[in-house]
Amino acid sequence: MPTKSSTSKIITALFLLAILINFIFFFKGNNYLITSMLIAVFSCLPFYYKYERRKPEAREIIVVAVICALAVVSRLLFAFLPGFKPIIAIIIIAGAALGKESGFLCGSLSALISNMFFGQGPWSVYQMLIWGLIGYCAGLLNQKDLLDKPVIRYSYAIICGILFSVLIDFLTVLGSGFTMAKYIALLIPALPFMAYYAISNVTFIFFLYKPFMKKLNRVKLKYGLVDEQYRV
Amino acid sequence: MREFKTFHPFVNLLYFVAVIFFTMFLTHPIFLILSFITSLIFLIKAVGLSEVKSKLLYLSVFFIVLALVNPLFVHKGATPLFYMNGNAVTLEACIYGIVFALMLISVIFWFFSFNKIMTSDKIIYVFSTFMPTIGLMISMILRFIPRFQTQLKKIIEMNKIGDNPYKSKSIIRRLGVIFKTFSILVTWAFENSIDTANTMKARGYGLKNRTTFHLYKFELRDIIFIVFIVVNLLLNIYLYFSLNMRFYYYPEISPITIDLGSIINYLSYFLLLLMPIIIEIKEEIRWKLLLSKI
Repeated sequence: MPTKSSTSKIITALFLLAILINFIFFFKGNNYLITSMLIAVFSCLPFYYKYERRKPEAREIIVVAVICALAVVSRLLFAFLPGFKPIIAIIIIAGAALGKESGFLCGSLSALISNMFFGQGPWSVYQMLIWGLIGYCAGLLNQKDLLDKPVIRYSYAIICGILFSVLIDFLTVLGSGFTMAKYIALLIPALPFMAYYAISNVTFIFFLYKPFMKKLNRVKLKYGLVDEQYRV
Repeated sequence: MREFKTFHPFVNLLYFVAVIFFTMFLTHPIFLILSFITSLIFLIKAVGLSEVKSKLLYLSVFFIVLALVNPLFVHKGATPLFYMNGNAVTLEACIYGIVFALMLISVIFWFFSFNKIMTSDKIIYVFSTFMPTIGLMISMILRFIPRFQTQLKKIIEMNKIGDNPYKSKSIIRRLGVIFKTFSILVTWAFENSIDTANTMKARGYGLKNRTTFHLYKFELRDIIFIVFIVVNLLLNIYLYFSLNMRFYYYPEISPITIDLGSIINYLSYFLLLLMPIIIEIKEEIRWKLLLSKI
């Protein structure tokens, strides 16, 4: 269905263009915070829209829902180690096993729902986009089975651990007028956290990747979920 | 905020989107102070004074850090206060730091209230009107979570037999048993949910001409509220641009204008923010009147 996906692409492109034109003429180049937030919202929509148009089967929906619920519940299981959470690892695995579209949904819906329990905030929108993209890129990488190579897998996990705080700090600084010095001043106290997240991601990928992949592949076979290229 | 909560979900959403958008868009200090005050009143009304107090400590730390970062690293501005390492700390940068911190704090306050008003059922409803599949997924996830938690408890109880490995002194043994628990949960979750998938299929999920059910009705007051918000938004945007209310902090702080037009602008913005609180107070008075009649 090439026409359908290209319509959604055109719509998104028009939206983004409209936001940028607004940003330049209406806000006169100020208000980065709103602009970036709007762009984050409108970048999420085409993924949802595409999934919606495909009219997925009940089984596909259930698998994604189960993974999201597991991601949220896992946060409770590891609550005794603060900050040490397997959510990102689960999203990476979901993207690798189920493909990029389901990976995006797993990531962004886990962000939305875990924020329903732990509190929504201005960061929710960015979190939905970033976690979604983490799942999407995992799916993209695994199209050629790249994540089966340990080096790529672990470096991807490390990048994902660092990415979130780097981007959120960038957006915070952007809101009040960007200077490199201010950005670095905010990043330095965040460094230990980044290292911590990267270590926790690598640990979880180390322990969870193989068993979880095995389980998911078995589920795929049993539920009759095949890869995207076989889908009509 | 009992009364505002009973409004249609789209009304709640529109109000919060409008308010949060304006709080982030208008950097004028008077607009920001109005938004901050209202967000605080709204939050106290929504969650109670004691819960707000418990959050105040870390929010004030956050506020101070944000307000300090700007003057320390931005040296724009016309009036230097003092010099530090050869760099000027300017009045403008100090004030902009405070204003920016105030804005972020008000947005966070609005989001706290958003969490109280937009409960998960309303978010599902909003999603499902535009994207039924995503809405269905969210509602399923919200059902699965308590179900998995119950199962998790059962698995943990089972594993506790013998010497309790969850309280073991060696952290490796403890982590090992937790990973084992998680693995059991994952297998169980997938095996169990295949029933749900089969049931959905058997009951005709995805067929044409199926109806849906929800509890929300669009009433007259919802329409009035939406019309009020839209008219107020348009008025505010018109006044803002026709009076040229844009506020500049660099290189010099622009003066705060107080004339008829700008006062109308402040008041209409304040009214937009206050509307749910006014509705709430009106209902409280009505309730007391009804009580006094008994």
